[in-house]
Amino acid sequence: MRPPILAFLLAALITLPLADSVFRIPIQVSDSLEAIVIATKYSSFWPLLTDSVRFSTTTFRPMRYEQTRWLLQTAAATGLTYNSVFRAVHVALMLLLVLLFLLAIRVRRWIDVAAFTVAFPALIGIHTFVAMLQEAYPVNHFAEVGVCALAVVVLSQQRARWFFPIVVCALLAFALSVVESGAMVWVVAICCAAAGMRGMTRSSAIAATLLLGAYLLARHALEISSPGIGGHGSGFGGTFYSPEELKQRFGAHPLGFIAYNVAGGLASLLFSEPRQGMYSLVIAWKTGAPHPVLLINLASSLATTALMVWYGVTHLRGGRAAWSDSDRLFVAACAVMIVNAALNAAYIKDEIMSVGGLFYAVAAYVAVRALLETIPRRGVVASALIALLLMADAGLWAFRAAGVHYVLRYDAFKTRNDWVEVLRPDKRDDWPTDPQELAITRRIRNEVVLRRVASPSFMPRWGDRYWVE
Amino acid sequence: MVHHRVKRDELALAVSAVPVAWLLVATALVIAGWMGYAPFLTPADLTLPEAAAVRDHLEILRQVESGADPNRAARVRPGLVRPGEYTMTPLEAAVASGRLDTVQFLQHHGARVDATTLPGLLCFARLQDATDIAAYLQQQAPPDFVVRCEGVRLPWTD
Repeated sequence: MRPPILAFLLAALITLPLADSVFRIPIQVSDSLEAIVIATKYSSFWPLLTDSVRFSTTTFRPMRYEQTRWLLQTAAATGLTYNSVFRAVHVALMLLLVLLFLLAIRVRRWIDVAAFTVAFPALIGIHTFVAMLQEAYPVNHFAEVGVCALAVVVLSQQRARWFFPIVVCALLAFALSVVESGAMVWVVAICCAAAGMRGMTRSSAIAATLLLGAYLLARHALEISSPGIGGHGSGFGGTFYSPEELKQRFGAHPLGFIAYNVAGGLASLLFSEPRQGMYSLVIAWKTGAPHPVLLINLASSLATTALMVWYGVTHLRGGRAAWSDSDRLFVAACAVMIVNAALNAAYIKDEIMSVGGLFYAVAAYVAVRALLETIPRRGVVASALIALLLMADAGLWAFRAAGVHYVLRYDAFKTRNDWVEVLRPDKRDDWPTDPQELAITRRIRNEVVLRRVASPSFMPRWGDRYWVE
Repeated sequence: MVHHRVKRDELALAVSAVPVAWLLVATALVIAGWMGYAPFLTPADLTLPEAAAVRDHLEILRQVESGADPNRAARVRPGLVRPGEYTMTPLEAAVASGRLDTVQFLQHHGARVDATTLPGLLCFARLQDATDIAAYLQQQAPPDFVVRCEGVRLPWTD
């Protein structure tokens, strides 16, 4: 069997059960039901598009509603349940992410397979990946952005072609139309161009920049602002603050808090700490009892980040002209992680760092492969130590990756039970008065009620200590 | 050169083995779940009292809407409220688990808290030290209601 085929088979074997865990999560009440209800009220594209730009004063996500409308139509045309259609799209996006990751890292040799077996669990196991899988608006826009971002990297590794600027702009336009984090596609394009990746020409970078400029102008013209401090709750030190508390505490002098968030966003990728702005280490210091999940996450991230630092120090000293293709990919990936952290200025959220998480795994792959390549030049003891380090690191990441199933099943239970509050028989006054809205709400609720999920009480209790933060 | 290549490839495969093994175990668990061999990975068929014991309100809703009697006693598997297996009503299971919101939810969905069931539930809540549930049940009682817990039967005897 050839190395790329083995890598593909391993990825498939690991991803398909994960797809099952993702598919079991029902449509969410929060973030999803409202968009679905709105989408049902429009029968054609343009009225919904023009109205949707006025739905919020802080978000500009016209394709969020259009996609929802298309999926509702798909369910009607095929006779499938709404839950099946929406969750199938979710699964498809996850499969696309894995496929694009495989294309981006280019497994060709056996040594690549070894590096892949460290990087792939890191891709799945990093906290930003599971946070991304848990999102749904009701389509998973963070996963869509991730797909577009990885697609740009894959293009950047090819020989430049005349249509690349068009494809990059199309990916950017799509990503920006679903969620503000879509700007990460532009960041990826610029980072690839700056790193000198062959497929990302100056024309592609300029076209993408012009498109982003047009997007920002459009937001300005539509008087859509960005949420500032207090738009969302976030942590500081060992405490999580509500939006009101944040505004009260940092609203007058926000610069320190912004710097904290940006640094914290990057640290969360590199060390798995802080999470949502809160340092569990601080809490563990106070209580004197660190949670096992904290130690596992910290150890795996520290080891992998140390490898990445080693790679940067040993391989990037020669300047851009001397860089290999791997060096350029590594530099682009690291740059994406750093810029991604800046998006956390107002508050830290794992989903915001989800693109950075994908590129963390890419950078880890490059670093691990480089370390393995040094083994023939090293002595037996050093080689054995490297092997032990990688086995321990990969084992920890694989343990984290296995926990994604556990977290997703927990999420399925919680999401299903959120529907208990919808159309409560004892609160008929809260029911929608619009018959169309009532009908779709009732249909989705009935689908969710019939959807069976595992109760956490039947899951192993030790899983809470090792996988749930 | 050839020696180095062989050594490198062998090491690569050895390093690959650990994470692959981990992930294959996780994958095997999920596949076993599909085949019904791993109860914690498959949707368990809960009885109504079990759903009450684990605070699975939507499962309660599903069963009640499917015609299940919310007052009927059924088995509760070991480990859900206590180590043993017991037969109890959904309300008893909710009290045994100390879940006031589940008691209220069951009541809203047809579980009876009346002169027949109230003394037992109230005494049971007190024995369980479920003060919030006891206080809630006391509110349901008529003003002249006097609790006598002597002779009230617990769902378990151990």
